[in-house]
Amino acid sequence: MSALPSIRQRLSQALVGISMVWGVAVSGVVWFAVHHEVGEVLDSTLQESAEILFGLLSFNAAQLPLQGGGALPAPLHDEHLVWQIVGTDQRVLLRSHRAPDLALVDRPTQGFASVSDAWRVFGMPFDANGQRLYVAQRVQARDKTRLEAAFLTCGSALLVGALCALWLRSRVSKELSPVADLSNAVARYDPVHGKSQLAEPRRSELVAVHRAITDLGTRLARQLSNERAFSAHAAHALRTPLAGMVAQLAVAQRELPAQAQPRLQRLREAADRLRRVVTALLTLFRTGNELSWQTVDVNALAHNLHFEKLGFVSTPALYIDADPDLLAAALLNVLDNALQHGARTVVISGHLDGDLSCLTLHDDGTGMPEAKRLQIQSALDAQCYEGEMGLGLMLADLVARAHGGCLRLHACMSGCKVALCFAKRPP
Amino acid sequence: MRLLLLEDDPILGEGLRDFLRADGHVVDWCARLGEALALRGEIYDAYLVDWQLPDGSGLDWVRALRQAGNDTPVLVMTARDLLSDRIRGLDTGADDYLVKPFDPEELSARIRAVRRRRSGSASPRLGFGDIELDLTARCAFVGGVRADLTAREWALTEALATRAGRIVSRSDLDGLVFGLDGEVASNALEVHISSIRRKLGKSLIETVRGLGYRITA
Repeated sequence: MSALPSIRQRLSQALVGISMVWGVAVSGVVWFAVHHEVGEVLDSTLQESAEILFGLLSFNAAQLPLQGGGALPAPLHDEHLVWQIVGTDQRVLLRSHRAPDLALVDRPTQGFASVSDAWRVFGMPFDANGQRLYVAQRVQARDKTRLEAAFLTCGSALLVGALCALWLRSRVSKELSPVADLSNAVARYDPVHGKSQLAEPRRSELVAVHRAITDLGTRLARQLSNERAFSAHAAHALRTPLAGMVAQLAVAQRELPAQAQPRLQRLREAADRLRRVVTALLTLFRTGNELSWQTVDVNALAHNLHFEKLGFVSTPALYIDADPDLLAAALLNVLDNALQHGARTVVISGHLDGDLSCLTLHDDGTGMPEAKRLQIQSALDAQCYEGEMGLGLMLADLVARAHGGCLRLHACMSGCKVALCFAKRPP
Repeated sequence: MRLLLLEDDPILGEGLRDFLRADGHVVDWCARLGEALALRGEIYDAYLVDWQLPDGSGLDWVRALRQAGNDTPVLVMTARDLLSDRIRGLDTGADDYLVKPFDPEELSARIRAVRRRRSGSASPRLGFGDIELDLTARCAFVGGVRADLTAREWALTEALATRAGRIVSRSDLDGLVFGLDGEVASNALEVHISSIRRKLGKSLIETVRGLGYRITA
């Protein structure tokens, strides 16, 4: 079960993945938008700067030293924007002190222009004689500004995305915890013994599941209780008259004359067989219930079953972990089958088959044809008992299955070889 | 042995009563708890009790017996075959537990086994000088020679021998030998004791004047 994927883990991974893809996509869009918008802002700034400069310079145009091509006197400073006044012959008449000596553009330009990927220029007429004012900004500075803006914005978007992913992951864990709690509560829920009650669900979506499981548990407990009550009543109703019959027969055997004895003996044998069938039927009701595991002395158990007409040859100190009542019922039926098929001796042995502890009973009776054995084994494997076998084998198989094992019919030269295989006793 | 059989099923009750009587036991059969309670003062060698009775639980009756200090062997006979039921039955104070249906021969053997366990002797034979009693074969030997005792004589001898060293009152002996059913003549006990003394010797059964009879261990 632990190898199964976890809903919480899968959802968390999906959320982290979606958040990352979303963050990258949003960053791309933001990058494009910021890059574009910052360019426009810088262009607007360039244009407005040119217009302001135009106003300032044209106000004192008569005093401007427009012949030397030098810069206006100013303290040394860094310039993000440079400007030039260029004559009609494309000669620089006046410039800011960081502006180049040569005209920023090689021909008169109106409006925005980019020059050799080095400058972004805005040009406008300065006077009526054809002089022009150019204000420019380095492309490198503009790119750096756009890059910084885009990086900061994208970083912020990614950070918000990552924080959102963590928050969502935490929410998913929190929202799924009622499901995990219900799952754990169901695992501990034991309606049959009434020791536990299923804890109330903490989310409305789980109410229906909770109700369904509780109803199912209640029905199961009631059904088991009814079955147990029926089994107890049936046990009393069947066993007591049978005991009376056996007792009356025993008295009759003592009281009636010798010529009646063979008939009485046959009656007692029939009563014995009836007793085994009744025991088998009553055991059937219990095969689905909880097992009372014990270490059972198989030899003692086999001898206590009172098969006077059967001889047992068995491994000394043969023990197996099983429910003694169910094991007794299974042995009773397998041995009764052997008796019915003319067996006089049964060899009982034990061996391990992988994780299963097997108890093998090999009788010297008439056995069964190989085809029939395979047919019955196939029916046992598929649990299709009806019409394929008698009550004895069916019960023995149910008992073995109740112990986590199965019943096997082994091929043998003579007689019948049946193995009751049980799983290991749970810790 | 005097046995109290508590079984409500008439066929089983009658069958067991007749079988055990044929075995030489004195059997009082009650079909209801109320009848058994009315026999509170009677002495028995063992109780054979069904768990489920029409007017109550046989196991509760056993519990009450034990709480009252009665340590007479109890054998529970029931249709309940679960391990937990057997444990409960034995823990309540039963000495043995037999699941129905069972062979009456097995019941008889278990009664003897329970009785042996209670007497503290694993052997079914009791010896008193040159007299030996085989409780399983239900026969007596004097100097190795078998003595023929009637069923009543055997019941009387067994009742005293299994209580060797203790004085058994006449009324208790009446109950142990004749049970509740018999029409007993007033001197029947003395007649049987006299007969036993003839067959097994005068010294075996001692008369304790005014109190009863005793076999000295």
